[in-house]
Amino acid sequence: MMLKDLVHIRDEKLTIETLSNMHAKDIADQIKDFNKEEIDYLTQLLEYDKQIEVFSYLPLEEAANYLLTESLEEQVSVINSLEPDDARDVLLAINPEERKEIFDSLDKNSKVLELLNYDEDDAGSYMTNLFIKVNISDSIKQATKKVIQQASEVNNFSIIYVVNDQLEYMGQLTLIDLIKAKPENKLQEFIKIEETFLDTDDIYELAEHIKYYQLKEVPIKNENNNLIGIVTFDDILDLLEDDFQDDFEAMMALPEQDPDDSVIKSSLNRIPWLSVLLLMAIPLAYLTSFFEATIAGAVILAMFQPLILDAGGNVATQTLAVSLITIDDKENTFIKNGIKEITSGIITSLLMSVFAFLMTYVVAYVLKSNQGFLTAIIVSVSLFISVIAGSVLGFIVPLFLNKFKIDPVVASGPLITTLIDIISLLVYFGLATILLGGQL
Amino acid sequence: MSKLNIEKNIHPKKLALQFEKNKNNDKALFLEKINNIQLVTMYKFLDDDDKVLLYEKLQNKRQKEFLDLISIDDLKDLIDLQKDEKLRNKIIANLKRQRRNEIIKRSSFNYDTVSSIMSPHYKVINVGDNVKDATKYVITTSSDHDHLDLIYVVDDHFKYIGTIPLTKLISSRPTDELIDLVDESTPSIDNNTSPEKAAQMIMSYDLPTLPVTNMRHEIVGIFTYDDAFEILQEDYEKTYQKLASIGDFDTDQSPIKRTKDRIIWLLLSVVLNILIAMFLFRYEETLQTFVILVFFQPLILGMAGNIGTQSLGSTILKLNKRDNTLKQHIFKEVLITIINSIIMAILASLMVYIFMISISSPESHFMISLVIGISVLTGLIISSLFGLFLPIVLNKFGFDERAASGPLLTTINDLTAIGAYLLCATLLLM
Repeated sequence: MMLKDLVHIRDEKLTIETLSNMHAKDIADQIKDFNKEEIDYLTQLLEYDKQIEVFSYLPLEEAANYLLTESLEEQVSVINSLEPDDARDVLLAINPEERKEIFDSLDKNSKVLELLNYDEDDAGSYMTNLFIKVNISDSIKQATKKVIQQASEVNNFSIIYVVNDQLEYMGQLTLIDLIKAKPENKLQEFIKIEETFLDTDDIYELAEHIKYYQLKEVPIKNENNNLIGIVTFDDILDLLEDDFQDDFEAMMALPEQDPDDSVIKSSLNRIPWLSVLLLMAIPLAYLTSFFEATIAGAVILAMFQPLILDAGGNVATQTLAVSLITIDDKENTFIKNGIKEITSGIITSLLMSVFAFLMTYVVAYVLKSNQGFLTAIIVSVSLFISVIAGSVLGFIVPLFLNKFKIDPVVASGPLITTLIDIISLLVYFGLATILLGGQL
Repeated sequence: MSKLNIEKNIHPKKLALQFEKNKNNDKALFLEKINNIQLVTMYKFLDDDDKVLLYEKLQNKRQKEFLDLISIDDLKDLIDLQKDEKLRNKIIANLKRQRRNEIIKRSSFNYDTVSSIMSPHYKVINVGDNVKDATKYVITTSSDHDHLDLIYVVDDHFKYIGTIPLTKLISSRPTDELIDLVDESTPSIDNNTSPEKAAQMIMSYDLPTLPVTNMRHEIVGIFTYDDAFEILQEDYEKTYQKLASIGDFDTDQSPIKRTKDRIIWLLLSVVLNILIAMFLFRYEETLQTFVILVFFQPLILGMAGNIGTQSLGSTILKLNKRDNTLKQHIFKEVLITIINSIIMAILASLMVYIFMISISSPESHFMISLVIGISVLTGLIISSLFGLFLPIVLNKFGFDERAASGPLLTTINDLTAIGAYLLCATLLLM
């Protein structure tokens, strides 16, 4: 049964039972469109911990809006109960005046306030300070006791962090190793030292690390070498997913997609890119105008122009895709790969231009064009050059942009398309002018 | 011979780097210096070539020990990495029976489902067990490979009920009943689920592991967060590959293989383009009279391509989300298409008008701007609708919607855009 129905039936017992068997994420998915009264009815039937958990799965905007309908006292209590990194995200989604009001009511030592100091790309802003720690000098028995004491606050952990008296990171061990240990063992025997990150390190660097080594979490320390938190896999998965969506949008010339935007807003958001691409057509029209006489003498050339433009563009797109897949690899792998791409581009261009020569010749013959042979030569030679240019640009442009710290995903597409169009056009009409010039 | 000093407490990742740096001849010697635990822990940090080398360089007796100690995932990985069928079979023959069965079972699974990647390293307890026995069972039987964050609870028929975090289990009192500790809300996934969907679940529920169940709702394995990382990465690369029609790309591929994978679509687009040329020939007279029309061909082609790409991209993102609001999406995209096509048509005809005035003064520049406006409008609407519906249709019939892009779509867009352009010009100018 859907929660919406339950809210209307008002059968408390049935509702409580249904809620208890539902994951907080599923509850959040269903209630995000409910009105305040409906949400309040459901939340009063949930334990506080689960309320908070449901809250943490709500989309940020809904969560912020809902929070603002509560009393200030309740707002502060929710913020304090959330995991600090979640609380940070919700707070940042609230408008500044109301955010300030909550700030002022928060305890000065609140962990959330610390997290708010971090930059968006700092590892610190993805960190939770809920983790289990024991002291390096603890005996197995003391450590076990400490772990069980802390267990009620931190749910679902399997790694225990070991610090010294100065709270410096000394290593970590698994929960199961600790439990299996005999009383006469020492903590030292089980400790493994993993790579730590600074709270100010770039989150993308950390993400690469966690992804490469498929880690569940990474310890974070501050500049004083104190262990202050951990970043867990789930935040990194979300980060990578968002990042991927950004890249994809950039590739598809799309603005940031927000399903809640109105039609007008979504339309207008897409106009800038379209206009930029429209403006790029002007230099092309201008270049073509130089060849007006040639074109007037052999209109058949215009018919094959889409072929030349497409072929270069298509091959450039393919090489670009390969470049973007390998751009994060080591530089010599990337270059080795680029050489293979260009070699492949040369083979492809040979095949395509021979094929195009034959087809153009036949078509021109069928259409009874009197410049069939020359047209076929012009088409196939231009195709040859434009395809090779496509594979070279698909490799060089992202490499070049990356060197200058410009995001190759965003800028490569339009830049390459424009360059290809210009090169193809000049070669095609230029060659035509030279070869057909005598017949004008 | 190089000196091989290995620190006692060295991190497996550093050890792996040292192994990779050693010359091929020294690798066997290096392996003799490290113990089996180090061998097993460093394995997963090696790159693919060195994984194969590591196994090759081990002495026969140690090869068997190694195969017995690594996790099933790593084992499957090692077998898949063998290029030679014979070597693959030799490894399988070297396995102990239980492991061999597990590997054979896994390789028979469909590659497109979670079954092929799920892990057998998890612990199950029966809901009727008493808390103390269950805890003891988990602790004494667990191995290093096991994922122990969540312990899975089943009933007498081995049907999945829910989970208990290991922490909750060990901090429970002897008087607690297991049934009261179980969290029944932890979702499970069917073994026919696609890996991408499983990764999505891991992400949306923030769970380290997800139980995989068969049609009788019995647990048959778990899907783990580390697989989610891999799937996400693969999916990412697959998107690039599909969008550009480059086949199953791999950095090791030779230029010949790359060409072979891609040439068909490219040649097909050449054929289509030449057919377009034949079709355009009907308008030879129009072009002959108004050569200036050729100047704006790239504009007409480019604009249609761009707007088609936008609606294609937005639709692929929508289909990825798998929610039930596709109808709304279609409605919205159609409206966006109409609005943007009108705006761009006006902008394009204005721009062309100004351009024509500035380079020369052909008599019919107003009419030509009008032709540009009308044909940009129709070209944009048609190619945008292609970008919207092609992926939806492909998806409906079970194909990958990302294949909707690539050389073929470009060519179809070209045909409609140029067709509209020259038809419109002929009607208005001639």
